[in-house]
Amino acid sequence: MKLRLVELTKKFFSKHGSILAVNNVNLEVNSGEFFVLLGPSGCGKTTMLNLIAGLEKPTRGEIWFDETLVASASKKVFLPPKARNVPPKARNVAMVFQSYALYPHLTVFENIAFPLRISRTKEHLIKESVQKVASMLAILDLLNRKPGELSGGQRQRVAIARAIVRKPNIFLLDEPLSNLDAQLRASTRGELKNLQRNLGVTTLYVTHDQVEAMSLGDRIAVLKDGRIVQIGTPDELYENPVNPFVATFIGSPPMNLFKVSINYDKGSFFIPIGNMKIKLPNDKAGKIKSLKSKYCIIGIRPEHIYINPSGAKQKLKGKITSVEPLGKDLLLHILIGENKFAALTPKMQFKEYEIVDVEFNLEKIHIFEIQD
Amino acid sequence: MIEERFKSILIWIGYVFMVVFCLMPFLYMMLISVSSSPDFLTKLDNIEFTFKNYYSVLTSKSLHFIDYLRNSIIVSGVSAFFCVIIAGLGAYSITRLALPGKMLILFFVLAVSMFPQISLIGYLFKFMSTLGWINTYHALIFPYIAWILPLSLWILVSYFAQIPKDLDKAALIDGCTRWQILRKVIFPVAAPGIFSVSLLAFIFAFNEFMFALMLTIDYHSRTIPVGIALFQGLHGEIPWGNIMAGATIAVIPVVLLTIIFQRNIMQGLTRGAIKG
Repeated sequence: MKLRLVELTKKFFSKHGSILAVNNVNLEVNSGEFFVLLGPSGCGKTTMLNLIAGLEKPTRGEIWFDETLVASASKKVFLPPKARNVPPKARNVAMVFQSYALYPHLTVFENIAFPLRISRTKEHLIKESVQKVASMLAILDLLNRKPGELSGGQRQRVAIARAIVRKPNIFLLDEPLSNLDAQLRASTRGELKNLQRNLGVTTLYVTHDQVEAMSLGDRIAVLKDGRIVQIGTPDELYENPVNPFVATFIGSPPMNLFKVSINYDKGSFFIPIGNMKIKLPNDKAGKIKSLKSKYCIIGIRPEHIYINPSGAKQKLKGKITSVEPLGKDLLLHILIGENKFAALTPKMQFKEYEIVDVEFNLEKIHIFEIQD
Repeated sequence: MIEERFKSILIWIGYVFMVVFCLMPFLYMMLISVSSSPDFLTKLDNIEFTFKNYYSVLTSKSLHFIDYLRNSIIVSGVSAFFCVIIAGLGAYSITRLALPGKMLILFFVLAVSMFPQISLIGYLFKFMSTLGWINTYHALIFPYIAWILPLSLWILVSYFAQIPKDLDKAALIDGCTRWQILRKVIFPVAAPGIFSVSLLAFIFAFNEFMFALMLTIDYHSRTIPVGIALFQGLHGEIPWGNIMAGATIAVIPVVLLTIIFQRNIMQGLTRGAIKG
């Protein structure tokens, strides 16, 4: 099922005024796509999920499932999440919550069967469906237990089982992995992706963890303050972030950013770093000319800074201020002039306060407009 | 070693004192109810065991004890039932809706319940007699519900507030209506609270004296506490044997209910202490 959001807006009113949780969002999620909403906490991503689920009414704008209008403020349309008689007048979405939200008084079997019981499915069909999803998620042996007797990972599987048991149109996941420990999170991530591929259900996944977003999403929308900042595949977001926010949010360790003024001299552009002037490659000229002022933000990822390179043309001198071993690589914090940089380098012996040669891979440099 | 022993002896003395302190009146009541001596309150000699008092309480028509018992159970049961339903609905909306001034409502409700009963009874009597409800069940049931509701509401609000709102959301997504959420999720999850409130409401209505004294006239609607208090002998003497036998029998419904719901209520009392 294809999902389309048109100028979707949600305003909350409180004693202290109103908050625009979702601000004029336009978005299309293709059928069967694994789509991730990524943003820091408080950016409106959960509100967006609630709007799509039918737990909140939009202040403005429309939500379409394929050719069905499911919510519109101006046309006074609002379909509930799921009606008793399944298809016609409901959204039929399923959701997995961060807290899992399992019914504590029911057994695992009854938890999974719950949506089917509400829609008055026949008993033998319920049994069949529950057995099927339970075996799919390897929780067959837990069916008689209560949620209180399960571990975090098992509860999470039950929550997923409950969501997929009734074959939803759209599958909504609200930070489902954030309560798991790191190891389990990594393995569940892979399983979740496989499961989604096999089921082929359009999936919206909310997270604040960029690693999760990058590894799971077919496409990612980066949100900030209720607005979509950028939509793209993980590669697009990584290679071509539209602004410093996306640039620092995507990628770990985050991109180095620094403010400079670009100088023009003899047909080339230069930026000052430390006490050196670095010549920018000519293919950046177009971008530089489009800037509104000569001040801009330059971004470079830690892995595109080379330490002690051989045969470099434009070498800088930097002082290592600290060394963080990351296993395979080393993360160095380097001071060049006034600016601090993080650089990722293969494991070698570096000491704090050592002076090293530094080279930037200028092809990989990003130039951003200064935003207010 | 000696210190340990001393400690355990002290603890035992404490136990015994508490048990005796709590059970003494009860034992005394039972003892008199099975004794044939009418002067038992003054003299402790010639105790004779007998079921005569029970027999007369249960069989003599003029005492109407069975009527009182029936009235009490009906009035208390109905009051407790509606009290739980109304308090449940109220607690659900207070904990789940974005109502402005929720706390104000709750405190107002609490403040209302602070009035002494005696300050209301005059008006209530006038009101009920205007309606022609004196000496009916509903003359007691309505004031009882109103009287127990504030406490029930407060207890249930504290229970419902502990239930994560994600459960409501999950149930909505699973296709429940608000009614179904209440019936299939909230009430079962808050079962210990519901049971505690039911029992509390039942016991309150079962014990209540003043409203029952003022708003009932005879055995058609009079409840046990008033009934027993007004037991009188043929020549105006106080029939202690009958009173104590009646009081002992009156304990039975409450004890039964407590035993039946015990498991649920214990859960309710210890729930906060256990994680998850």
